[in-house]
Amino acid sequence: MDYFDLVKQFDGNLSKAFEDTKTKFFIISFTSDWLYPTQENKDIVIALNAIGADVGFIEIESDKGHDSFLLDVPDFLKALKNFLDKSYIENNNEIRI
Amino acid sequence: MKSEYKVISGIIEKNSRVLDVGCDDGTLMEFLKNNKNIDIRGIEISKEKVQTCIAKGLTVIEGNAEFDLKQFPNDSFDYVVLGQTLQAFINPEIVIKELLRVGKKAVVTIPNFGHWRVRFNLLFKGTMPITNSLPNDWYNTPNIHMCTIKDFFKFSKKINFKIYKSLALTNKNVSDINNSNLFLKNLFGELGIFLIEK
Repeated sequence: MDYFDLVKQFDGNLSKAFEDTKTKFFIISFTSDWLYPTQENKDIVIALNAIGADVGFIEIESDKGHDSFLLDVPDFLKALKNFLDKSYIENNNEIRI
Repeated sequence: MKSEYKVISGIIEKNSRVLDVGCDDGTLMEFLKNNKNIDIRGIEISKEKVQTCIAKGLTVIEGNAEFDLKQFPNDSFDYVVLGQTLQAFINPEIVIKELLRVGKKAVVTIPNFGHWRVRFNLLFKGTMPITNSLPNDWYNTPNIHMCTIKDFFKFSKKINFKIYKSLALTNKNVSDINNSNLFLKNLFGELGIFLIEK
């Protein structure tokens, strides 16, 4: 995992990896995740903002480390559920139109 | 909805790209998205309020406006909105410059410290004013850089930005501010609302 470097193939420019994307992004980090720390997640947010992508971000407080995303962290589950619910509704409306 | 939001929404053109800095619970964002077909983003410092915005289906980035605006390229937005938070920043000058770098235009609102009730309070009570729009004590207020409507005009000359529209809001009444009525608006306006440009 530590050897994977997405920016390598894009001349060190992470934004280029997402160019022309229409995806709606939601980046979530955990305060105790040392594998993917908040700052690195913020770098992704910055790269996406640089190309005007639709990106939201929240840092969740948790003492459960990197595995927080697999465990019962209520704030995380709430944010994820709400994001998916709302995006699903929005998407469905668009299709109906 | 707050009359302040109605005024802001009246200033912003339809179908534009807007960033709401300090977007709170997303009330203004939701209104702009639904009524003016605005492509809207928000920045908010409180995790709880970011959660509220997500639950409304709004795109919000958790962050501090004083440091996190630099992630946006120049002219990323048609408008950047800053509602009643300029006075809470450590360096309002840098924030204004950042707003005008990130946005082509900015809408800034300020609670007017020149309002007669504030002056009355200080003059006769001799204590730091507490009013509806300024409900905190001096020691727990987030407002560390209070200014008046008149101060904001002086500020615009000092750091060189243009004020295209200036409005005073009192209760639910909105009125234009110009050179000849500035003294009165600075005395009776509870809120100053400004459309500014580089």
